[in-house]
Amino acid sequence: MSAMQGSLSFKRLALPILPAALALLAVVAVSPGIGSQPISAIDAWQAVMEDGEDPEDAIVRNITMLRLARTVCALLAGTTLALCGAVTQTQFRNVLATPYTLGIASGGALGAAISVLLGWNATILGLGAESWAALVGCAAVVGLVLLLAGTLYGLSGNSLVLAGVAIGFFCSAMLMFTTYLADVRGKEQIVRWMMSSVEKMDFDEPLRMLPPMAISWIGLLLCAPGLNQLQLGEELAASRGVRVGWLQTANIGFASLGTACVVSLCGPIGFVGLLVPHAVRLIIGRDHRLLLPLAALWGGVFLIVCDWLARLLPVWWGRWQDGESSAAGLPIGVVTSAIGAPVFLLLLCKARMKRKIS
Amino acid sequence: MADETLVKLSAVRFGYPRGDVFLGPCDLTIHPGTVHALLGPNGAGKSTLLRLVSGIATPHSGSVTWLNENLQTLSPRERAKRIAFLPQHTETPDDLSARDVVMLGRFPVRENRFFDSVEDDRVVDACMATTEVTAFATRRLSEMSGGESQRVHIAAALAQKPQMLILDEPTSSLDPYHQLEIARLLRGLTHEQHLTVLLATHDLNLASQFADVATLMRDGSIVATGHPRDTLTPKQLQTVYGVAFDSVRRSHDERPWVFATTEPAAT
Repeated sequence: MSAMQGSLSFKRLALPILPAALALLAVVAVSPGIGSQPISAIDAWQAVMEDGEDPEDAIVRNITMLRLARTVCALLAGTTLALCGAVTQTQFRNVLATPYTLGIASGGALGAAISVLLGWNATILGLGAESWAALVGCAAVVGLVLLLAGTLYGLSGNSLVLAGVAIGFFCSAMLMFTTYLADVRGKEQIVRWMMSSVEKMDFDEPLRMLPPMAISWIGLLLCAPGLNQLQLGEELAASRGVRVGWLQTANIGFASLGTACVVSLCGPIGFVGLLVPHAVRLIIGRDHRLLLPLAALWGGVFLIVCDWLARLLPVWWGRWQDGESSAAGLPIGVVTSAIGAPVFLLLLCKARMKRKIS
Repeated sequence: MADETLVKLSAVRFGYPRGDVFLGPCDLTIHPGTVHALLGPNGAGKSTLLRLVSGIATPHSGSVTWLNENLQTLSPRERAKRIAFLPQHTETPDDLSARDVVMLGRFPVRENRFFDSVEDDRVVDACMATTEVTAFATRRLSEMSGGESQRVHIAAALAQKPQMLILDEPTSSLDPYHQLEIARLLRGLTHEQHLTVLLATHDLNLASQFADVATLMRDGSIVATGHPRDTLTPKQLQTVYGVAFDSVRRSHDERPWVFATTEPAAT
């Protein structure tokens, strides 16, 4: 099977997108029923729809709303990270590139850690101080990377990656220093933030992040035909009428915007931006007109399922240990990385075997 | 050879920001429907000249005109509808099939940017038939020989429906059989589709046999331009390459076979 599999018609686009969209709808629908308190998904949705006075209904409604809030958060983060990952890998023509290659995660983490150290706890426009500080940290790092790479070498893929890695390491060092300076509670807060989480008390924060994330999705999806050309090399793409400089700037800009929103909302969730685009690419190929929307949809599915595991694993662990279930969820970053690494290796092995057979 | 001018370079100069390569001033005329070969040693400025004619690079001074219109005033997409460029090295991912690569060539000409049309399919099939790669349409590029993969790239360039095809060393790393195969294909395209071909090559004899015009370059300047029988003389080649050359002329068309020699050039 070839990597792009011929011409793309509306039918060929809809064929893989429809099941992915249905899978996403299904996991969102089932999600309120999954957690330490077992509720059937139907009861959960009924409690939300009916808005009854019964105190038991109110409890179910509250649990459902909390689970839905984290589901929405996982959906937004997964979709954005997978989409940004797919674009970043093509942009840098590097299979190991992730949305964090430009050091965004380290910048965001440093920003959040500084806000913890200084004890900022104000809420501005519905976003907490940590989220704002992370957002500022991300923006500062992207600005610095562009400035450094542009001044020293010109905005080529390699110079951006090198500048990103260097600034990322510096931010990591500063993050360790900030953690060292923080008190015990601050240290715990920083470590917890670094582990990332989709736990939200309500829909306020995720929905506030939706507009900038949607801008990043639309921007990146519009870049898809140009990205198909860019994978053949900058010179050939330019000769075919692609404004390579504009395309690369748009890719970096939109991917950074989306990633910064995710880091600010949930912390640096790992592996989604690496695993999901690779998995989708192995199955449907390199046509970005298909790859990008599918990576986005399956990214959402993947992170919601990881969130289920983050909710359920402590429960299963507690029951196995002493028969008591624990309500405390695992940080989602632990689950994505723990699942992501072996699944990623499995996919690579399968791809290799498939090639040998064909 | 047609008298009309397709591309004209007038006093073109070009330098990279770090100043290590400099080209020009160059004056050159390219006629439609011809095979025009650029020859010269490494670093002579052949590839730079190709990039200037393709519109990817902008001259520091002077002008490159396409049918009397400044090439730089055309949008990149409009340029790509006229000129297809095939660099010496492409970064085509291994797992793309031949047909995928050719379909990518439709990018500048397709009406709908997102979806491929029936017309795109038709053109791609026709271009693959022209370069005789239809048989391995579904084969990955990584599984093809150098000659096959080069023909796929030429089919992709043809899918742009250009009037001019620019190729940077299209026969380098190919064996003599495949070199001749590509040269015949390009020659055929100028006859059958009235395509203009501009190529850079190190193969003096291939250029001598197949080109209508051979331009010799050295140190960023054009030393000579004209029919191969007039430009590929031992004296001019020695001036350009700095080594002695000898030649034998074909009886029917006076085109020379040239070869570098350690002996002093025959007079």
